[in-house]
Amino acid sequence: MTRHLLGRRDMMLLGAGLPLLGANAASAQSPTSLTVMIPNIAVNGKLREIAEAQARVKIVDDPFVSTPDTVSKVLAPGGTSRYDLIMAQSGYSRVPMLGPKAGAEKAAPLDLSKIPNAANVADLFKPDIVSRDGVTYGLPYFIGYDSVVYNADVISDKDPYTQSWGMIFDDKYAGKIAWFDTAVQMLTAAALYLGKTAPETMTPDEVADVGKFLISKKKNVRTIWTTFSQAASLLSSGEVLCAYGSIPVRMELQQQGKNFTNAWPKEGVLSFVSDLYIPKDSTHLDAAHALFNTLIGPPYVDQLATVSGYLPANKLAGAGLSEEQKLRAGFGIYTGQTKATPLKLPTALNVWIETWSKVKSA
Amino acid sequence: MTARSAARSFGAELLPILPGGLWLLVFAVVPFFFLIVMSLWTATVFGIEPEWTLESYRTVFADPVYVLIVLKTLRISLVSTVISLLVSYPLAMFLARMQGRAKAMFLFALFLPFWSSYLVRSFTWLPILGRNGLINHALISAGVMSAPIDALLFDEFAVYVGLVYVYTLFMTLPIYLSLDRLDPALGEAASDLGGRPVQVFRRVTLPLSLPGVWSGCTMVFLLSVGAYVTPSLLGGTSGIMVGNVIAGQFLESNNWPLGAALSVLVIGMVIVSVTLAGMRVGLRQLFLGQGR
Repeated sequence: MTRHLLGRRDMMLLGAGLPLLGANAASAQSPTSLTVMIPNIAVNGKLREIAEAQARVKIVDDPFVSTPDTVSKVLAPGGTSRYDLIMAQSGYSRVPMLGPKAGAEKAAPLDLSKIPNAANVADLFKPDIVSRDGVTYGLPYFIGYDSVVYNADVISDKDPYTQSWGMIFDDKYAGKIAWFDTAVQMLTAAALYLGKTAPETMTPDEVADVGKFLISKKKNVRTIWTTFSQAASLLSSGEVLCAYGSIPVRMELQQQGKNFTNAWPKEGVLSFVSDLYIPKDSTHLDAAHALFNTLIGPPYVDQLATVSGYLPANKLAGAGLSEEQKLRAGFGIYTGQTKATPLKLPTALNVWIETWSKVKSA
Repeated sequence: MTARSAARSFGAELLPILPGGLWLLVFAVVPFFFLIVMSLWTATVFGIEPEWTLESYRTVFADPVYVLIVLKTLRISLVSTVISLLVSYPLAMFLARMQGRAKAMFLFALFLPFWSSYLVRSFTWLPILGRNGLINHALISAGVMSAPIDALLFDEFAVYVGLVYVYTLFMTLPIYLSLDRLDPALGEAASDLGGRPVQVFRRVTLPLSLPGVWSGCTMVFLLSVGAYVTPSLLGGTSGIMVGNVIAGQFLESNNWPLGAALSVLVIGMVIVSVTLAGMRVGLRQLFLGQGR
């Protein structure tokens, strides 16, 4: 009887092991999936292709609604382990993301040796780097602004309302207005319209007055939108002519070939610098660092402004863009050409939120 | 009977209700307990702190706006329930009278929209009720109106349409099951005794189908109270319900304690409403569709 080198049992074990070996080899090659909360327009199409290819990751979108919503989701129980990379406006997110004291940070400390593109952050935006005790937690990603987006086929740019937040408050476009369902942005816009210069420092009484103003103007409002695509749909379908709007809303409509643009309110647009953070309990730190580095360096930043409308917050910003494109992306905010008020975390945030709840419920 | 056999007998009686009891404990009692605990915690800019306070309840009761939105929600839910009943009862009667393949086809047609998601079913109404939607387009094309009717969408009316549409099945099915079980001979006997169709319906059919009616009403009312997507999509500024306010606290506002306090208030008011209705018609009838 011939004795084989491998017995039948050995062959069976080998047979069972091979697929596992194959699976391991496959998983070693497949890109790491990262759950990312960034406006879709900044990680979509060509930008997504660049980001995924360069960072060797697969981006899994968690819908971005607004900075307060993002911060809220990260601060929620278990929130720091649900996401691998998030974006939030630095003026609003710095305090909650850093936490009340050292060691209570909600963001992971960044290993800057893995983010060489951090050197590209422009001096202008260095104040928006989020750090504590020499450790960096957040880096500027892009700049942007919120304003009023309106149907330019119906509303002439000669209409003085295109130069004011009054377009979404006053009676002129009553019934054809949509607001944004977020306390900080809506109350800040209304406060600016009412002549407040530093809305984030308003006292509770002042916040209540702004709330009363909004309640008095609610009759002019058709609906309150919650997502960028909902706002774009409302404007595109003709349900409303003007809305509190941000860059993704305008870009989505313009990419559909629709004649929509944004107002330049004399009271100032609401400007922001958005930072990237890696939530502290992300289990894919290396991959998250790789994607972080990709999103603030070339070739991604070369395409960001033209594809998404957001201007990169680094030295490479504006390369290859015309003056008109730069102005449109919000660069004028930092050169003084465009009047703007930075969005900041209100000192009495709970009062603001309570007031907005009352406005909606009234 | 010894103590041991009494204990064994007691255990044997408890065993059948154990799965149901556990289910209630895990999915109703414990979450409700957590909700109450959370409503007593403190919301800060850094998240939720487990520090005991009644601040959220003070906020809820200090301003009538929160209690008013709960009352408005109960009103909208009640009206939606009544409209659902008025729509569903004739539909259920029609289905109960159908026979064979036609009956199966109509039942299939009734279920068909419910194969799609709740969101899609609510979203469907936007292009129908909108300013440039189907109804306005038809009215303007027919010369009935010269300008679109704005009140069709982003108003309380649209919320009623949406809620009635998405919850119709929950009303129609229990009524249909009640009617389907009725012996047709009862109606025939009433007619033979001189009852006119209206009288037969009022004195025979309706009373015998009441268990299904109460079951359907309870389900539609409770589902409507918790509605969030429909008022959010269709309600505009005037159709907001308490579900939207609560969701806002848990999502964008990061004030879970206030959201939890509002939820406790809603649950409390629903319990009071259902108890009052139960005292009137009987809890067994309300929840189990059985006679008193």
